[in-house]
Amino acid sequence: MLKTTRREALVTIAAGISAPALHSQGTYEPTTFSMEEYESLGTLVDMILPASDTPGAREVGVHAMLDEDLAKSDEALGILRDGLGRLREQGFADMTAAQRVEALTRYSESTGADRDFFETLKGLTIDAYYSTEVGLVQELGYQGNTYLAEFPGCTHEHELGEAD
Amino acid sequence: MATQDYDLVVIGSGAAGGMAAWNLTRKGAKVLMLEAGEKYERSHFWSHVKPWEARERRRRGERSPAFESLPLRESPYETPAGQSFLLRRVWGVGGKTNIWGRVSLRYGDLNFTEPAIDGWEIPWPVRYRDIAPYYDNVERLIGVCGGDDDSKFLPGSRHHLPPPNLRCGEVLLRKGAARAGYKVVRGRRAVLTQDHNGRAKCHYCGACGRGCDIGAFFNSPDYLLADAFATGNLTLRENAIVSHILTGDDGKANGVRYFERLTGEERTEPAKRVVVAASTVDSTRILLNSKSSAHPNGIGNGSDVIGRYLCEQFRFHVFAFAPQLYGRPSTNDDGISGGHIYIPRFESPEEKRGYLRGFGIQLWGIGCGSNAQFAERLPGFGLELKKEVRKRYPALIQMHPYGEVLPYRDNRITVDGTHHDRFGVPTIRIEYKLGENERKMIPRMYDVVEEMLHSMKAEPLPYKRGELDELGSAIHEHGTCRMGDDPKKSALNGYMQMHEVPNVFVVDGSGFPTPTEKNPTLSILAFAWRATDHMAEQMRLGNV
Ligand SMILES: Cc1cc2nc3c(=O)[nH]c(=O)nc-3n(C[C@H](O)[C@H](O)[C@H](O)COP(=O)(O)OP(=O)(O)OC[C@H]3O[C@@H](n4cnc5c(N)ncnc54)[C@H](O)[C@@H]3O)c2cc1C
Ligand code: SF4
Repeated sequence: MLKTTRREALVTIAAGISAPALHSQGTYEPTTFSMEEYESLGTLVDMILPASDTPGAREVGVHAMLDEDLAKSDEALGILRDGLGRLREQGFADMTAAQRVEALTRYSESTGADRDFFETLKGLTIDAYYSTEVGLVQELGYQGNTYLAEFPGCTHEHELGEAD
Repeated sequence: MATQDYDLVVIGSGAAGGMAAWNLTRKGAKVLMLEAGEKYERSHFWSHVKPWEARERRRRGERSPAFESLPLRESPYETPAGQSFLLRRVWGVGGKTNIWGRVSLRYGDLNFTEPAIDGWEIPWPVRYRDIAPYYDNVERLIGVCGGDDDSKFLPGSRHHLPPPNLRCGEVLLRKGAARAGYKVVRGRRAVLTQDHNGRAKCHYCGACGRGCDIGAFFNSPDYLLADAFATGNLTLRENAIVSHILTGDDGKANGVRYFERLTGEERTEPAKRVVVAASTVDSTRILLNSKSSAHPNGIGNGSDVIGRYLCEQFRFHVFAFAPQLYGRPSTNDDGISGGHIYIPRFESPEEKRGYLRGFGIQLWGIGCGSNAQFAERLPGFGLELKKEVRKRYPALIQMHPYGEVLPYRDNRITVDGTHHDRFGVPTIRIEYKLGENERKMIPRMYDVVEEMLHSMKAEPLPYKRGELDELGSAIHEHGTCRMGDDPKKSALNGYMQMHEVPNVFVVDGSGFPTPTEKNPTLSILAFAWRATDHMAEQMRLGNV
């Protein structure tokens, strides 16, 4: 469905994560994950949704949100922990950006536990990122949940008629 | 206690119980309503809390109303292994009407006559002409917006409030479906698109699922109970979990037993008449647990039909994108929250299709939403993914077909006494699966969805043909205390009065012998109104 080839995508992804990993939750102390897990998680969520013309997942603190949200979860937490453990054994922390992309790509294309890890991480990152003001409003232009006197609906019906 | 002063006891305060109390109190009856939960304070609803603000609030330890947690805690249920059933309940004043989806579709005469035509399973004891005036009454009372369409599948109404404008994706879908030969109509929802009966209209915030802070959609507390209180004839007892209907030597109801939720105390309330309206599954539990020497199989259940024939719709979801909207500036697509269009059933019984009954297609979630969950199913990760999400966000299309499930004798609710709640009252077991008829309908439903998506040039997200939502997720349970003319095959007559126990009326969706392909609440309100008209008349005549 995506038009860009995987190779092109990988290049842009790698460029994305080389940006400095700022995050507004700099002072956040993880309580669910260990500090080491938390750092890797920050890197990973930013690989899923990196900074572009809007901030990336790490900067908005998606890894902190996951630390909060997963405190009481069993299944998702287990899957993330196991996956983070496997990445650690593979030396994730010392990898170059390109190597990390390669590792995550491998996970995304595999089956079984690695694939579960990727899907879980991706799903949680998407849900958290697009629930922030940055993700929803700045990135997607969400304008909802407000007070309107009237609901205008589609105002370019005529254009759509020509387009289809 | 001057308890004997009540003319009747109503169990439950949702759509059905609210209507019963509204109609009977205005006719002068003194009503005691027993309700398992508590009142929800409108000011506590998180209607205007944006997703990121919700997180901040949770960090501060604040919580939105937990609408669905109480019944799971107080009245858990079991299912056989590998046969799950998602039972969603709200225990609190107003029940599920606090957060319901508001889709309000009249059943057509076809829905009522079809079981008699195709022979599955028993005929309805009511025709459209019997209930049509009540649909009129209900729509006038609660306010339902919709179009001026009218067909044998979905009868029209002269009382609709103006329908909301269509979102961009809905415009495209309507055109695409029309090209493929399918008729798309305006959605019908119990949302006030203009001020109605002194109530303020909707402000299009899209928060209905979290409860409306101004009561601009129908809910039992604002639209029914408030009037009933105003008569001075309604007494509401909250936190009262009814466990049994008690009977005398003559087999008639003479009281109810309930447990005070906060203290755990057991109480007995004398009752001259009982109106059961705890929603299909909980009403059934009460009836089956009400065993006595006169009713060894549960009250009014000499026919052994109570608990059986559980039925509702099965459904699935297909997500897609309208490429015409890729990269468009985002719009506020909240509207009245939920679809502004609907595709009614279009298959007649005369057509040879290999299955009975049919399906309609609901169309909520089209356009810019308050999340981007669709992105989970886009491939890859990184900048390319982020770009794709932004591009597709305004273009999201969703289709949600609902198919009618036939009533099967072995799809049933039982209270076999192996599990109990904390008061020692047996909890329920739900056994429910689809049959051959439904399995034959599924491929056709997918075909139709695909035809429409193809015709509008939509790009679907990956899906597996044949995949269904968890059973139960339509939240439209019926059949377990069905009405009919034959007392050997039904528990209620056409006025929802027990054949075997004339002073008990069961006025919720459990009385419907078939689920139809439609959402039931408008019909529950109409039937409860009609049933309680009859009840009041029988009371006046001294018959009950
Ligand atoms: C998310 C959601 C979306 C929905 N969308 C739609 C829709 O679009 N259109 C539609 O038509 N329908 C919809 N429904 C279904 C609709 O809410 C129900 O059909 C309707 O509320 C049924 O009315 P009721 O009175 O039978 O039950 P309820 O409204 O559930 O009320 C039952 C009441 O009985 C009380 N009760 C239960 N057990 C006991 C007991 N033992 N003792 C005392 N009190 C008890 C409960 O606390 C509750 O207040 C939806 C439901 C949900 C949850
Ligand atoms: S969209 Fe309208 S009906 Fe729904 S919560 Fe907002 S104001 Fe209430």
